[in-house]
Amino acid sequence: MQNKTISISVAKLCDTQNIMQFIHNVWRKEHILSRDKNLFLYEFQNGDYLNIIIAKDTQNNILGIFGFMKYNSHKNPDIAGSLWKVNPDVKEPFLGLKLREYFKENIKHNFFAAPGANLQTKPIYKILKMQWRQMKHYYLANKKLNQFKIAKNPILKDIKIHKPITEIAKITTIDEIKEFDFSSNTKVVPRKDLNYIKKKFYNHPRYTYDIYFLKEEGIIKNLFICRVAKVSTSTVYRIVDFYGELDYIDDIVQFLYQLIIKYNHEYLDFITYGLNNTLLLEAGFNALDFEDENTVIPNLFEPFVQKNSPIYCVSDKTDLEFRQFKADGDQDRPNL
Amino acid sequence: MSDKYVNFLKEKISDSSGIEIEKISSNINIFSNNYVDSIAIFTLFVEIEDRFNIEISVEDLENLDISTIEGLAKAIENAEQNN
Repeated sequence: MQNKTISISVAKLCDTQNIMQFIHNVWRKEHILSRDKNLFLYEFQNGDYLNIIIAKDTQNNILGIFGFMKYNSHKNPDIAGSLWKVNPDVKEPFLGLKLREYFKENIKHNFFAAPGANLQTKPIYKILKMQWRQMKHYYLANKKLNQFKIAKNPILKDIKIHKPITEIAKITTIDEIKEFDFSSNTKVVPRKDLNYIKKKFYNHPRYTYDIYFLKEEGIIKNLFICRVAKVSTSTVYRIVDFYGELDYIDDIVQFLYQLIIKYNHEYLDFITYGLNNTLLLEAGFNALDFEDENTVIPNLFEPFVQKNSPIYCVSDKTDLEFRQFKADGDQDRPNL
Repeated sequence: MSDKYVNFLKEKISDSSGIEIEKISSNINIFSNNYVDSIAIFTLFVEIEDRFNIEISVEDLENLDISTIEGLAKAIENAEQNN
């Protein structure tokens, strides 16, 4: 492809079809975001615009995209990167970087993170002076099951049953969690808010998420969001987002463990970065050893891949407490 | 300009692209001639940073002529001297 004059801008709603076609042609044929317009708009629509930076040539062909999602409704929100792709036939060096630089200069934000970074891209982020991390994959297998079809050889651990000191319940209306203090720990990034939970989980167009609160003496101390993932007739239960500290993690793990037994889920898993490893292990989780090929706790379900999958995340350099979870960015997106 | 920069770059490009080192030219465009792609170039930058103890910034990528091995070698030499 010859180099043509390239313009970079924030995508408008009218660019939707072109971008979906670009995803089909350049990212992956039949990618869900290339054929499901409702899902595409749910992820990216921002009024008359899209949360996507696009590069176009003079003939309106899309040459590259840089998608993002806002974590909160602040004037300078924290933002997660999502799709970032340039047509490899475009011999414009660093077009991908130019898209990112345009984003940095034109989209006001406080903090940027990109969960689910491809290992191949690590050198790019090193040059960008961003922090690269690997997420941990915790799991707790259901000891009552005789066989596992999703997991392979999970380590089985006893959970100490204790009298809970808190109240945990699944919400039926979003109002039940509106009193949660999202800014209780100002040192944690990215900062999320009630609108984020409402859009991403409560009103998700395809998935059903279970949103739980934990109360201690009537005050909500934690929120956590879970989802069932299924392979044929076997299921697992996944914690995909978590709010608050780990003071009551024993109660949470006991509660969820009883749930996975009740519903015959193979295991409970929790993909995360930034939480205290010791507390999670003491609460009953195992930390998956990605080097151990004997034990497999899959991460990819659409389609199902029975392999351990290391997950990486990047962010702006920060002295704040950086935390990431399975559903950050577009990591917990439908794919089929 | 010392040959060490050009030789280093040719060696790394040969390793990543599979092109024989003797066939790599110093003054043709490394992108349009498929010496590197958009991922390999950053791997090369990281190797340059590590080998010559310099830092490459996004501004460097925009301001310097690094489209040829010769241009890139000059940029490395300048950065090393300024260190």
